[in-house]
Amino acid sequence: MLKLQKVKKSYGRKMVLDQLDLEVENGTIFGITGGAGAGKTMLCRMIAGLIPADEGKIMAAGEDMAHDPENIRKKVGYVPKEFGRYRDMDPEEYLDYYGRLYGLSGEHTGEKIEKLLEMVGLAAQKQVQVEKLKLCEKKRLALARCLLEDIDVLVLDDFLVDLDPRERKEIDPLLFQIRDMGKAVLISSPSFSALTGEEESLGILQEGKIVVQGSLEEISEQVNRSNPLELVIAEKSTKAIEVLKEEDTVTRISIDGHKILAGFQGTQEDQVRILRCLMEQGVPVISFQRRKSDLESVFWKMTE
Amino acid sequence: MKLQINPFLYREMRRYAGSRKFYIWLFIYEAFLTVVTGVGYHIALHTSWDQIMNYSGAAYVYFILAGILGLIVLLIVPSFAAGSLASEWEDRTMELLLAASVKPSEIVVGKLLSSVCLAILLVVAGMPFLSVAFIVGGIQKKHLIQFLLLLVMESVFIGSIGVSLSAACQKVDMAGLQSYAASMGLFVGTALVAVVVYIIERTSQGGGDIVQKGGFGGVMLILLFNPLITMASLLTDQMGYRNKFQELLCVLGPVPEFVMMHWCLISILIQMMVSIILLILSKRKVEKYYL
Repeated sequence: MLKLQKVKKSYGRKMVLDQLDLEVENGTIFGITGGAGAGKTMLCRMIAGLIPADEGKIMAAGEDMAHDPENIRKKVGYVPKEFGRYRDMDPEEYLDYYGRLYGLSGEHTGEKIEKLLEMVGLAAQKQVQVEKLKLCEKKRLALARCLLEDIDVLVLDDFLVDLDPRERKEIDPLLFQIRDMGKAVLISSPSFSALTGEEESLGILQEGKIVVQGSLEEISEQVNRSNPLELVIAEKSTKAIEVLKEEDTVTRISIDGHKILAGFQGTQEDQVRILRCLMEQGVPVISFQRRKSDLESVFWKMTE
Repeated sequence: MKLQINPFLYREMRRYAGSRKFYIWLFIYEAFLTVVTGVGYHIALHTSWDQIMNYSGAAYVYFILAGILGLIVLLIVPSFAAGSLASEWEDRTMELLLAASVKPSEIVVGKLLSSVCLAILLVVAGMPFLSVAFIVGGIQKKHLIQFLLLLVMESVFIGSIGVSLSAACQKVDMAGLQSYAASMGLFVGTALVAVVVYIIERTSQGGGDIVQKGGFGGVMLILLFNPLITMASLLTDQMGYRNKFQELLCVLGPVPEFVMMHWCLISILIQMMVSIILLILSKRKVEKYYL
């Protein structure tokens, strides 16, 4: 499990992370997004143990990073934004090299490397130069590298950016597989659209703070709360307007032919009640729904 | 307990082992040493009288071969050392090394080792040629071992300069340039300082004997930093020309006798201390990169 408590980090006068709290349970994926300079990379580097926090606690696998950074780093797999250049290595050598850096060696490591290459679908390319691999393959190789150690937390910085839909189809199942292995996965992305859509929780980082956090439904609900109601009725009806006007949660009403747009500040229960009233008054409702925000508009709204 | 090779060293060794270019260069190097050794001993044999071996001639061949080996090593190490840390930054792989819970000190030492390993390999590959002198006579086994150890230590010294510049520049080309400039500063610059002081003194004294007047002997201490002079001190000592070497050292005036007597050892100690300081500074540079 990954847990951040009141983490603070500043560079000079600029506060990059401000009293940040975050929790990612084992077996879940947490997607974090935010504009440029929001502090995503800094956050990932701090969790990876590259940068210490000024204040607060970063805990991985139940242990405080500040107390034993070297050991805790072994519990955190980290894939930075850039893969880096490995001019003289094939995937097998790459994993062997990192295995040695992690202090692993021997027959078991060889077997583990074989299994990992199989798992990430690179067994056939194990003797192709790493530099010649496609971006998606490099990313899969990076995941295999993280799994060389018995990690508890996986941190992926801007990991899903620049992948086309076909490549996403290859990567996403792998991420779910890692999640299902009981790892806490944190993925950062500059936009919601680059995330998998399967995250258990999402967060928006802005000016060093997580301004919104929760499941996709919870965030959407939070944002949709100020979205208008859209009604389409079969024939023009003054009754519909009357019903809506009587509702405290409806702020303004605009009519465009058979379509009514009503400003709305209510909950789902309020929606149900309004629909029931309309039906009771015999309004011929064809459709009744609250306008939905897509992920990107959620992001724009929250970071306005 | 299982002995594990340093990962950086292992990577370099694998790289050499898998490179055809490396074997070609090694062949050229061996061929060159074969020619020098062959020609050297041929000349040494032809200057003998009545079929009696000219031992001093054989010793000269050893001296020349050792000098060539030393020069090759000292010229190769800066380029390898300069690329060591800088290439990790340029290739964007340093972040992963630090995240892989490898201590910055392990990275720096590993990089130094991998830069020096080629030099050591070349020295070892050159040892059979030096050993011919040992077979012919005039040179003892311990001389070879002393020379081998000296070359390793000089490689470490020059390597640590390269590694520290690599850490400071973070650009391979710039670090390479600075590394060669620093090495040349040590090889030629320190000697030049002594020569310039000598010329100025000679001019101001109207060509008088400075040794007798004893003013600037201390200037020669700068040569303690010069790996070529360290090497020369060992080789002249091995060949029985210690007095000549000491005479040269005193050309600007008397040099402390203790230093003169143990020039090679003191020089190595100083250079190793400088190496340690440079490696500590490199380590700090690496660990503070993300701070």
